[in-house]
Amino acid sequence: MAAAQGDGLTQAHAQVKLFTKLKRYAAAKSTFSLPGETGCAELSKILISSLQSHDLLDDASDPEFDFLINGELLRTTIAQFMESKEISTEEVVGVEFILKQPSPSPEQSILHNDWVSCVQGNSKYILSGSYDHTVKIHTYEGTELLTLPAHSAPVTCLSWISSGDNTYSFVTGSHDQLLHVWQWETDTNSIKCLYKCSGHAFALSSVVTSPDNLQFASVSRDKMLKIWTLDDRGVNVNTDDEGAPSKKRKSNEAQSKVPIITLAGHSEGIMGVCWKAMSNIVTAGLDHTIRIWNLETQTNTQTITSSKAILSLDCSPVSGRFLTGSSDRHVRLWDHRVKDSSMVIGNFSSHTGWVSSVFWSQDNENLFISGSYDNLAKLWDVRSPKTPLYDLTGHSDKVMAVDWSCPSYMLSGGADNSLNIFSYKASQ
Amino acid sequence: MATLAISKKRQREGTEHSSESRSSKEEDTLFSSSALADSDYDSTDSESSQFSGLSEDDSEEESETYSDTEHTPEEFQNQPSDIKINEYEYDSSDEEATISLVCMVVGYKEYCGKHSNALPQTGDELDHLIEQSENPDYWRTVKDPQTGQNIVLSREDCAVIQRIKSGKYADKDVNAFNIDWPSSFESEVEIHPLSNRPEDKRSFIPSKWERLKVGKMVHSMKMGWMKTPSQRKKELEEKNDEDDHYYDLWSNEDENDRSRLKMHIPAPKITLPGHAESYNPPPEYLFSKEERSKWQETDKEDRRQDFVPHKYSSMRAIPAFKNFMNERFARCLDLYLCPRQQKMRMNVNPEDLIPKLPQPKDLQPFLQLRLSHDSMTVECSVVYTGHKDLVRKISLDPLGQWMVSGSDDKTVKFWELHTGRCMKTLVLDDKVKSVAWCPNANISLVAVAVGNHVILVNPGLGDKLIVTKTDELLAESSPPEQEKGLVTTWSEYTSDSQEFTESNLRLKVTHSKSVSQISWHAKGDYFAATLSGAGNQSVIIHQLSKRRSQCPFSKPKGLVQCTLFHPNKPFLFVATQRYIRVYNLLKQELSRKLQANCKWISSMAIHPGGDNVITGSYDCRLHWFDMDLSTKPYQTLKHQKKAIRSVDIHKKYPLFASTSDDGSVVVCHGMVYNDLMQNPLIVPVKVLRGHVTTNGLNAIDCVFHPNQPWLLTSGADSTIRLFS
Repeated sequence: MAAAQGDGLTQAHAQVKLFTKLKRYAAAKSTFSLPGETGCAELSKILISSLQSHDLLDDASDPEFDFLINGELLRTTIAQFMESKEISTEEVVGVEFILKQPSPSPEQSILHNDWVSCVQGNSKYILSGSYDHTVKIHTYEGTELLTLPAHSAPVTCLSWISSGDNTYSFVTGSHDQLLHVWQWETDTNSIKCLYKCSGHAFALSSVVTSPDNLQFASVSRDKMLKIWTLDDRGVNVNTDDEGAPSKKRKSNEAQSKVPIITLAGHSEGIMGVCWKAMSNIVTAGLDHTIRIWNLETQTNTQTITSSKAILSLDCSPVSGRFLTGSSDRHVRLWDHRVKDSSMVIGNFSSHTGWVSSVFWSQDNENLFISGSYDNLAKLWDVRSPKTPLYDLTGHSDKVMAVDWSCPSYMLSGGADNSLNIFSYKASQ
Repeated sequence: MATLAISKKRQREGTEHSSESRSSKEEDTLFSSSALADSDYDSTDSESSQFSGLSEDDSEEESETYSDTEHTPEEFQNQPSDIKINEYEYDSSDEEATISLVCMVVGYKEYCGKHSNALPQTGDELDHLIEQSENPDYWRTVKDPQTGQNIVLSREDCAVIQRIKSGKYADKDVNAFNIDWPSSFESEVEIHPLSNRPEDKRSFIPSKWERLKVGKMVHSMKMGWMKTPSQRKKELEEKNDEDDHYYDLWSNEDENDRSRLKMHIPAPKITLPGHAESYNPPPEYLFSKEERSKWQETDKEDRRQDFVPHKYSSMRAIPAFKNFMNERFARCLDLYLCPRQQKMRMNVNPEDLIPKLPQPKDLQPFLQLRLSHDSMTVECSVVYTGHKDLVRKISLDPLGQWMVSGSDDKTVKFWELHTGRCMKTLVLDDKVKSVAWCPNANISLVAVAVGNHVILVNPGLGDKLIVTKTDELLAESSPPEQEKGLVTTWSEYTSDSQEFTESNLRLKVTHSKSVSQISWHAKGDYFAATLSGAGNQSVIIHQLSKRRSQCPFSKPKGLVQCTLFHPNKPFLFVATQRYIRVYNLLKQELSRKLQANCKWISSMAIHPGGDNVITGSYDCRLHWFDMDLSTKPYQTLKHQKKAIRSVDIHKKYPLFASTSDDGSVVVCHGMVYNDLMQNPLIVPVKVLRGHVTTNGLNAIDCVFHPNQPWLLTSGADSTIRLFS
């Protein structure tokens, strides 16, 4: 039976028209009749020979290609793809070829003392929080610059705020229900706690800095979303004795701070927060909902219900779509602008455990990475929902956090106490 | 002269008739009453030409032909009309000739039938048929045998034929018997009698016989022997009134007899004869000598065939069947004596017997799990590893963020639920039998049963405010005066002790026997401890705020397995080996006694509504009690093959689960409806296998997450697993 089917496949030929939006290769347009069992590799060979015949390839470069059919990446043979999509073999299939995303290459594995719960990189440095209550700063080369005993409980979230010439500031959140804002001088490698932000009741779960780097939003298991500023608004002067603030500042001690906005609406702990625009914040939580908040009116403008408890959320800075990782093995792609019943426009299932973290590429609207409890981080293309582009292996325990804030580095922190760095050079 | 004319005509027409060399005399005899016609045929002939409607040429010829007749030319001039001219008036002098003509016409049809060959054929049957349907005068059109022309008979002709047919004279004016009879009876009344005879005397005297007859009748009427018609009619009516004339023949028949009629069973049919019964059977059916001898030797009852097949040369040679009467009689006996009874066989589709189960997708949400690659075990979402021995009991905080687990390795561990991170570990001095997180979200306390003690621990997880408040609350609660004869002793860990600061131990309640199970009241002030083997002190209820303990029962009720508080009413459920007793704590009385049909209850869980209780037992059964329904189990599930260790019901979703020693955790959908009329719907939905069997034990405890459809199980393989 299988043999018979195989025969059928070999007999099936597909009319394939190759085209591209890449200017370099724009001239190469050609139509082939290919056997159905042609896969990516064969197509690539055909394409390269075709490009060579057009003298579009310079000998030095050796490009690799991926193929899109109807906006979806070809990962199987053409026949299987067309069968699954129910495309008639009679028609000419337009196959767009794009440059293949290069594989991320593992660079470093930085060992921590305890589980790495959160990680974020900027252009030069990696900030990582751990369950041993410390926050560490590393360079991408793996040299540890600083270990900061930041909190009295496991650090769960952190975020870079701003980067001056030699001054960096970041915010960290912890199980001790506090957010600390730190200022770090690279020259002297000295660190200073600017604010201690108290207000949350339970362990912090996520913190994110606003696009203008003047505010940050934090969410916690206590169902609250709180917005804090970096200026003097919300600085709590009443808790201590009256004329203290000036004295405190002189004595280089952190000021305590209260949120300027507190938004309640979730019925269970919030796990993810994302600053969509200056006035819009998206949160997602264990109560299966994604909520969009307007900061100006301080209202919940939209509520999207998922079927699973959401563990992580990210909003693409390019396309504005959300990704959620939930307490099943799927990564879901949402578009809140879709007015249909289902706002889930993509379902990426290759993980076998809960998806603990997702992170969009900062410059490519199609790429994102996800980390899961199945010890894997994966690089995905939105156009390939069944199979990820690459698996980022290396962890031997749950992946707790992934980060791709710096476009050339992917970071993942896991329960095996390691922080893995993958370098990535995006194709043009 | 007439014969001459005919022969002439024949010659002229040149028909096939000429072949029949028939003499004119023969021809004449063919016509009826030809004898009459013979002499005056000439005149008839001339008249017959009138019917023929010949063309003028013909008529000329005809006139030429008939020129020797005596008729005048005027007669011919009147030919076309068959109504105006009554030809019979002309031949009044010669009636017989007319009759002969008519007879000839009437007999024509029969003649045609008999001698169709004799006449010239003009047109075939089809033409006749068409003619018959089209020509309204077909019925009176006849063919003149002499001329071969069709003649339409006039009305007078028809009338003549009618008269002849009815046996009258053809001419209506003919009076055959020309006699004037005197009419003897007439309407005129004569004044004189016809005869002169005087009237008889008897016509004046009343009749003696009549008198006698009348007298007899009068007498019989007087005596009532004879009745007048009116009387008779009346009597008949009375009689009819008395007993109905018609009566229901089957009125006395009861339902059974009628059903017998309805349920008629046809007699079984006699099997049709086969080849062996044939008079000329195929040779293989004929007996050989051995077969015949064998047939003769066997008993009549044992014979397969009760006859010997025989071959006859012809049907004629078949003798009469001598057993015919016997056979028929035997069959009658069969039909009569053999009871035929209708069997009530139910045609039930086996699939209809299976209870209607709802679609799995209607039961969502339940745990949606994926089988791992070996498809034997279910992939669990989070595995909590760290214990070194079997994990006896797990419990979740009321918000579902933390989990506490007590293990046989003498430790209690606190876990972060979502990440599987062990946050704290308490090392105690005995095996931990039970742990229970206080269900009140405003108190951060965990009760741990270790040996003879119940230790209250403030885990220090969650909201700091609540943690500190709990500590304050515990400090505030006044220790009672130590009385003699108390069942328990409460002791406090001093705030500077190592246990207090490092292990967060707060209070210790010491019992006389080892504590096997703890359950909290929903408000978090009371908790009940179950002691093993302590007789009437098996159940002790502790009040946290007053640090007081009381022993509610004075008599031992059996081996208490576990206790449970009703979620919202002051009821205490106490499960012994076979019974669950429900005590009303306010009235201090037994309000209900549920009877589980099992030998040894192992665990118990209550539905958040409070009306449904499930129990698991060591004899592999799970009982669902609907307390509104009965004290007997509403449903008993036997999905597991070994002892059930623990059961739990989800607080929000209609789910319940049971763990068993055979390694399976069965998750069932158990929907309880608000409508009291509707019984709970119980459908098994999932079987989970995650733990590794160690020392014959597998999954020990199961707990549902308070908010999510997640199930946590602890196992003998020292792990805790979360299934989502």
